[in-house]
Amino acid sequence: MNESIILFIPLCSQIREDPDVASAVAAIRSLLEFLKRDQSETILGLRENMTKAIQRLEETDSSVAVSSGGELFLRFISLTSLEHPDLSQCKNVMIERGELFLKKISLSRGKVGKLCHTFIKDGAKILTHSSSRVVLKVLENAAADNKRFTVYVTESQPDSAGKLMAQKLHNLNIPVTVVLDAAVGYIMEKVDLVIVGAEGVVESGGVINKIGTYQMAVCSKAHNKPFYVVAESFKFVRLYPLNQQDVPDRFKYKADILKTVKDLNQEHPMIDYTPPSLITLLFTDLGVLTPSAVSDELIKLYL
Amino acid sequence: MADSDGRQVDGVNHATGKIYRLKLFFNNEGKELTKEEKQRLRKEKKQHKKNKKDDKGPPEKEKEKEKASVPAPSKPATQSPAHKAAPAPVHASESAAAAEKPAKSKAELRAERRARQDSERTSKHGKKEGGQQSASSKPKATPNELQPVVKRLPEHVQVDDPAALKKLAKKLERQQVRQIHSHVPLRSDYGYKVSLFSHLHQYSRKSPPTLQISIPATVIHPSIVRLGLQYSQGIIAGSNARSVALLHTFKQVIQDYSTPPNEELSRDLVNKLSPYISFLSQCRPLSASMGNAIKYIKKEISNIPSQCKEEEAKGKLQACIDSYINEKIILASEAISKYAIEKISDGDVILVYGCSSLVNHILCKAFEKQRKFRVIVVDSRPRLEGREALRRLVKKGIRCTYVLISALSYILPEVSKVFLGAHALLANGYVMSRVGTSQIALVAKAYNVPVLVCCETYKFCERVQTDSFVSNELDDPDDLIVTRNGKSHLENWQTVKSLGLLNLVYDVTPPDFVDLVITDLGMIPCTSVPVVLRVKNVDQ
Repeated sequence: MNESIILFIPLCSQIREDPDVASAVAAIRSLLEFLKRDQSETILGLRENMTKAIQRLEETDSSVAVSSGGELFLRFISLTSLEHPDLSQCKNVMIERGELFLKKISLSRGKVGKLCHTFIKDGAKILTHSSSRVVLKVLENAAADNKRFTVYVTESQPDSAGKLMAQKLHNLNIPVTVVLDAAVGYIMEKVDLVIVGAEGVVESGGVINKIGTYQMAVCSKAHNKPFYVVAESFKFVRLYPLNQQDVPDRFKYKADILKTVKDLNQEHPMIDYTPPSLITLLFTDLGVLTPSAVSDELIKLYL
Repeated sequence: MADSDGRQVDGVNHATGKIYRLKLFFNNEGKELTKEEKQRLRKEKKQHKKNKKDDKGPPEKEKEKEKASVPAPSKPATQSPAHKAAPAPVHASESAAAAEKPAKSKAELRAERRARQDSERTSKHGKKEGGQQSASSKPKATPNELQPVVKRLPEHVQVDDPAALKKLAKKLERQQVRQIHSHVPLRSDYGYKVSLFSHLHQYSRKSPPTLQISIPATVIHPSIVRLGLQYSQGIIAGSNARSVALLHTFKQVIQDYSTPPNEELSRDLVNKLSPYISFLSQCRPLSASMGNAIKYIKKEISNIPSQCKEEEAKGKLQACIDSYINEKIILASEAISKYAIEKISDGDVILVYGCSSLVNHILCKAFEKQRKFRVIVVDSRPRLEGREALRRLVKKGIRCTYVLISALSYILPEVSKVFLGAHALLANGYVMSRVGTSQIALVAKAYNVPVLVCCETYKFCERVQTDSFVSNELDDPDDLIVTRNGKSHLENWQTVKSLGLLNLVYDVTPPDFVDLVITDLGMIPCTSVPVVLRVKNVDQ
């Protein structure tokens, strides 16, 4: 599969050039490129190659969003009538649909930001977890709306992504404090609301996010603080975990660790699952949803 | 007697006054009376009342009652009191008013009545009456919906008012008479009923519903009689088994059916099915799955085009029934097993309750796929259905443990997942299942053990219920009598005035206790049941 080599290059370069782009968007962009260069003779062959390409992408970057984005991309481009006798015509239709999909999801972050920032009142104290570009967009919009608020960010070990988030917020002139992961319970009584991003939104309405999110959700429930999740719609995935153990291993650990390490019990998972009972509202580009409405939207998206 | 266009007009007795407008016309959608029709009916009744007030005397009231017992064999039992309730209060008020007027001669009254009747009949000829399906086939449709006019009782009437009681007794008598005429016997309640459940029926297994049926039964098909007996004696139990048996019996009925002359198969067959359904609901109240199956069959029958030949139509219906069983029950359980097996991992300890054919199927399939797990079967009195489940699982070679429900909180710390079957899934996300299920879900929630409910989509029903009282089933209270060491305690429970035995069959579990519902459409949260119902309605 020579095309796979061609895939990695645009993906890596895109992520390096534009760190603002979500990894799923970059993946979909590479998939589109792959589609344009694909040389299979039949539609079935095309689909097979696309599925293989998605698998290869998942091996590089094992986040939930890449897998869900890839699957949604595949469904979206084939959700049209492919009855043309000429393969190149079909391919053109699919490429058109692909471009449309890409355009839609590039705008989704802006839509979410616009929806959510009205929920931030003047003088609010916000708690967030690790580094999420969507949350950053939301806070940016709120700041542009001349609202005064302070932000607490958790450090989020083991990769200290929280410090990165604090730096970005500082550049936006938003007062920010970095707290330890262990200090979430301590700080909860001071804050007014919690906003986190998501790597994936599952069928039950729960979310999969950086490790530590579940803890934060439980604390906020105990203190009766609203717990908001902001996520784009391409992160909706057809998983239904019952508990932490039920999340598949390929999402829990980074791709290179999965390949090299034998005993996963010694490794620490990078994500955890927050059940829908702890989430107040989800902000997506499809609108503001309660956790039970997510299943409704998923049925519409996938069926 | 049939109209010119083949519609059956029942209960017209020329000697008496009002025409019974109970035409059994089953149109395709089974619509109820629209608002305009209801208003029109109300206006007509008022008009009728005004005309009657002029010449009505007390003798007319008896005549009305007499005509009320005119046989209408194909009419469902529960419908008739609803319709009679409409004319009865009318007559009550009329007779009160007419009591003071002098009574005219009988001949004059009869002539006037006939003239009025003719005029009424011509005015009502074009009116259609909405689909008056058997009330028992609709999942718990209230009889009030079928009543054309809702009459309010006058303010001063009390429940223990002797006049009102007499009227009620007369109404019941009329109902009984009608029942006997329609060959569907009414079972009488047995024993003292706990007051919370006094609105439900409680029958004894020792008095089968077939006692009053003549042999050979002319109105009720013998295989239906057999099915009814099997239901009432508990020989066929379990939601899927009952539905499949019902559908097979209907196939037999359709096979033996022959269209009478001047009748259309699509309408007559539906009329024939109604007394069967009321008989079956007398034997044992219909389940939600059976209700949905009956609705499907009636729709299929009424969709048969009129130019279809009888043999062809019968063959088509048989094929429909076969495909329904195949799709909704057999293939659905395959699909559900596929999804459920993903949720079973090696080393799991799975708890099941009672005997659900679907859950047993899933566990057997998972065992075939070499999953390593063990099962804990929880059982409860008086049905002890868990023993049947235990037998089936052990035969396959699955490691099982058997406990009674009182030991639930003792074994739950060991359990990793709970699999429950369902009798029906209600539109607000509540799960209706065997009594004890909600207890298991509650305790599992307290121990943070995930609860998975497995249910085919044909068991989804539009009903909404938040507690187990408003609609349930009461089984034979004598089942609770225990015989141990030769001594039967509670044997003479009927003699103790303050003692009541309650043998509930179903209970409802709120959606907060259920983590996941596995259906043939996929895995959905409990709150998404109305979405599935909506998608199903769109499909149909």
